[in-house]
Amino acid sequence: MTTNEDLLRKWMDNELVASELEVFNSLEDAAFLKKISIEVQSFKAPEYDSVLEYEKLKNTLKSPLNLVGRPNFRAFWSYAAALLIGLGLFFTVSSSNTSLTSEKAEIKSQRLPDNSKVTINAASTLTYNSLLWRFDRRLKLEGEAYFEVVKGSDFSVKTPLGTVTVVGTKFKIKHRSDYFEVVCYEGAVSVSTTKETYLLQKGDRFLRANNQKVERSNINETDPYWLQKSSVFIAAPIKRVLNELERQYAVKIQTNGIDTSSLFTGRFTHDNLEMALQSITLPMGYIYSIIANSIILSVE
Amino acid sequence: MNSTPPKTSCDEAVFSNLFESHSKGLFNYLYYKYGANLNPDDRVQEAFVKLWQNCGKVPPKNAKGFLYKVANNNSLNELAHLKVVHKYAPSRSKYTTNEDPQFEMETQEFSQKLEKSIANLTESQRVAFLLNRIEGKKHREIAELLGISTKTVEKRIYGALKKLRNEIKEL
Repeated sequence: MTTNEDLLRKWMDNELVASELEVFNSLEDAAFLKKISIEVQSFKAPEYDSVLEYEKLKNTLKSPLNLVGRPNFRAFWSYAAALLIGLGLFFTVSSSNTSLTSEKAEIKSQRLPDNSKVTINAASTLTYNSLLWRFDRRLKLEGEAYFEVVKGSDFSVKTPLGTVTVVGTKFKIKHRSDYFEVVCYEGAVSVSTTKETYLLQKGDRFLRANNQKVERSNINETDPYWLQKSSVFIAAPIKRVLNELERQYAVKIQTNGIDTSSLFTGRFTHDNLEMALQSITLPMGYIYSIIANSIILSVE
Repeated sequence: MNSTPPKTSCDEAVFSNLFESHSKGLFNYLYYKYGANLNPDDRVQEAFVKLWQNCGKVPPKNAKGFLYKVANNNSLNELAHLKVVHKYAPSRSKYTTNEDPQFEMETQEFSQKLEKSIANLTESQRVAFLLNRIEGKKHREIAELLGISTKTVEKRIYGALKKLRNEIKEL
């Protein structure tokens, strides 16, 4: 027994046998279905000429735009654009590297983009990127500098002997080829050398000289002496003192029969060479003579 | 053992065969689904161009699915650009010349209703219904073409029939 639905399905699928067709034709719906089936033919898709269309396709494929294995120009251009933007960014960023350099016998002071203040002592160089400064407060220092840091993100100073990161506000760094000194005048800074990290509080002084072990001590002054135009030494080898003198006055110093490792405690001014020489030579028992830009020191 | 690698879609003979066997079906499918306004012949061309460009990645056995997908996507993109009112076969064959005017008018009226109702079907109902009624495709063939089950095809066709019957009788 086939149901009406079965009949309908078979009719639609063209599978009715003669006897079934008779039953189907007697159905109420049959006329309507047939009418629809005839009428719907007028909506037939237009004839598709696959030979002609294939010719068309072949022509399209032959045109240079669609050559087989053609490089993907869109991808190429997007890479090129990305590269260009990247290069542009790189050059913009690297061209905004700013440096501050002081000659011998010169102290320079500058406001950084965030209004932090930096003062560099004689013969020092400070480099930073003014464009990236807003995001990354990072400086490179060779020489000696004093910082007053405005609150904000991490503030770090990189020197060949270690990196100093600011936690608080005022500090100075002194870097020489074999000497690395950090003094914190206010707040706190952290000092990282290749081996360890130290946290300096207000009045702490960090010193590493001649690759010897780290020395920590306390200071009483509130900012570096060189800001007041003098250099102060506590039990420092005379060699380093003379070096500093050379820097501050842009002179050459020759020593004659002097043990350059003897220790010196005291200060010299940056304003007056004669006075400075006296403050060094008197306590040490040296004599000096000045010939143009050269100074000769010898034992009395 | 495998001295001759299986032929890819990049092989011109293979590609030509693919066109031979799928272009017309794809054209009809697009026509019944989206109507003439979306230029089904252009969509077919585009799909085969895309297949040729990707012939290394699409093996012949996957070509059909690829073509239908590309053509469908392109049509949908086009559809987003112009909201289409379906309009089938503007030129009706005059097979009723011998009939009396009354009959002719009724037929015309019926045809207009039918056209409207067909436009109102869902895309999937329309495709299944028209492929069956116009192209004379069996349920099984339609199922194969659309990658769906025969049951689903039946559901779509009868759904379409029911809708047509209701709408035409109502009008």
